[in-house]
Amino acid sequence: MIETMDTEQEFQTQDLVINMGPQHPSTHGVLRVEIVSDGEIIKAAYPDLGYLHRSMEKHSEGREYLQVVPYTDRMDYVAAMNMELGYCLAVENLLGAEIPERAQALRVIVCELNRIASHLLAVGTYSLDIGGFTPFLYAFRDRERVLRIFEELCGARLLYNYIRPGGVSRDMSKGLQEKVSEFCKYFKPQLDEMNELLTGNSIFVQRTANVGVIPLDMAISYGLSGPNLRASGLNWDIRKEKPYSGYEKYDFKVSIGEAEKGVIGDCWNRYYSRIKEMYESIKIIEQAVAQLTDGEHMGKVAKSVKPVGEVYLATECPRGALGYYLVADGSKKPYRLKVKSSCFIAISTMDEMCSGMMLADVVAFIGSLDIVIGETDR
Amino acid sequence: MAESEAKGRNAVPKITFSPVPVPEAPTVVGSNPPKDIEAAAAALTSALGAGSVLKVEKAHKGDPFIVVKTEKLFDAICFLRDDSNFLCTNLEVIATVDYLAKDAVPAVDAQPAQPAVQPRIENVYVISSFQFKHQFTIKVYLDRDQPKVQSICDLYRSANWYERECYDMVGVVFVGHPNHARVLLPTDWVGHPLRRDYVFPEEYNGMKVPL
Repeated sequence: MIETMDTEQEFQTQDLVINMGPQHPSTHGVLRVEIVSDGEIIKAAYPDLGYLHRSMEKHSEGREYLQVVPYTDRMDYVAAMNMELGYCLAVENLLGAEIPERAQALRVIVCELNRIASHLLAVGTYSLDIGGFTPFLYAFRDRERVLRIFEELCGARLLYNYIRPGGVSRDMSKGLQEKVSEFCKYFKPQLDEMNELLTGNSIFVQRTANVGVIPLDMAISYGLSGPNLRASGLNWDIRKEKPYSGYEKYDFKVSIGEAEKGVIGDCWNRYYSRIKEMYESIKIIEQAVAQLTDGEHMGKVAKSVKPVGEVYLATECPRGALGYYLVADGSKKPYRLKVKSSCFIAISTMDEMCSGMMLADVVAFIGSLDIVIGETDR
Repeated sequence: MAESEAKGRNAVPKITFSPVPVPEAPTVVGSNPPKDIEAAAAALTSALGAGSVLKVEKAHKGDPFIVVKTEKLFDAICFLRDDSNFLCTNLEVIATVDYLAKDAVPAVDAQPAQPAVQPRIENVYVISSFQFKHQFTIKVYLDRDQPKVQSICDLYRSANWYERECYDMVGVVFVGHPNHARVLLPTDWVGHPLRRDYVFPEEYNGMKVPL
């Protein structure tokens, strides 16, 4: 007689704790996630931060205002221009400094170029996470062109130290302006190509559509911002709602998730809102270059400033709203500089979102949030 | 299979959140005129009782702020979140500032004079609204030796990690927080580095700390 085993016993499963990262390629840096899984199903995911913590906030208390700018570069090293801009705006707000029009336009140009570079990296590595190698190469080829423009502008490819309190450190030559316009002309067809290659790709859509859906109320409660919030369906862009640095002069659309594929708030919509944003960035750059007036690139702001007061200022960065809470006590150094990072908050959604997900979808979910660990850990 | 206990070092008990009032999507936001800080302070006083708002400060450069009584913080934020005149559904940031005792600074070089500062810890809550496009800074003053305030995790999911960071960096204790642990620094780290009188350790786990 064959002894039958109790099916309950036979299929008894056990929870398994898996470490994902800190050296996992899909965690975009050094994020460690502790995953409790039952087979392929995730029961819980606990992100563990701090592997790239460089205590930027503490360092900034011991540096003069101008010296803090390079530290902000190193937070989100993929979009350093945007990081600098937020900080400089906060300092200028307390100083009440007037920024020349040309400097403002140059800031907009470099920030939007950096947004394109950053989104290209996000989209490229996202396709790599999902398993598509080709779009990654295309994205990096185009990103290289942006970095070359930056290299010619300020001598650095990633960490620019370009935007300063009062203006920008170098003027943009006529030749470089043409190169920027050329890039815009070149880039639009490349973006269409990327759409053909990846956006409608049925394998990509199957992996990302309807996966990791963040409903709007949850997105707001978590304080998500930027493309992640817009993909959940809220028409909110700080560049439009609280314009800074002359964004009100430019005509562009806010790219919200419209569920061309999947449902609003899923990974595909987060991906696609970035693609749409790149089209809008090109529009802004084209207008800014066309309207660029002659003038000073640096306002009359001393190198060693002593502002007083406290301010919270958020700007629209590629990864969402980046806010600086700056307390200035009238000395040469900031009394306290607190950075609100959108990636920090995006990662905190993981625990709630990943429960019940398949293991492979976690990679798709992390990639769609587009996190940079340098910014979360600071 | 029955729901087994969550394992793992960072295991947290699941908490339920009170729902956030959500704008209709996709809303064209900001059709309502923003409220100013005086209106917010007046509304808070009438809702929470006299004495709950300690100070409204708007003389300095930058953002004006409201200081509320520490015990009234949760109610104040909850009121501003849910009241239909404010709808501050977005918690921008929770920042903590440590103030050591400081003498008054006289006016120099066109800088205004500054009053003397009592030693304290300030917890700063910046909340904003999508519908009204206004932004308020709410502060509480905490005792430097035993900084303690009620957690607002029930109101915003994002508060969870912001408060953990405040505890990590300055050592503020949040009463009722579901997972009161460090978030950026290692769990065995001693001290809270963003205190102004923090002394850098010379050693960590037998390793020399480079300065």
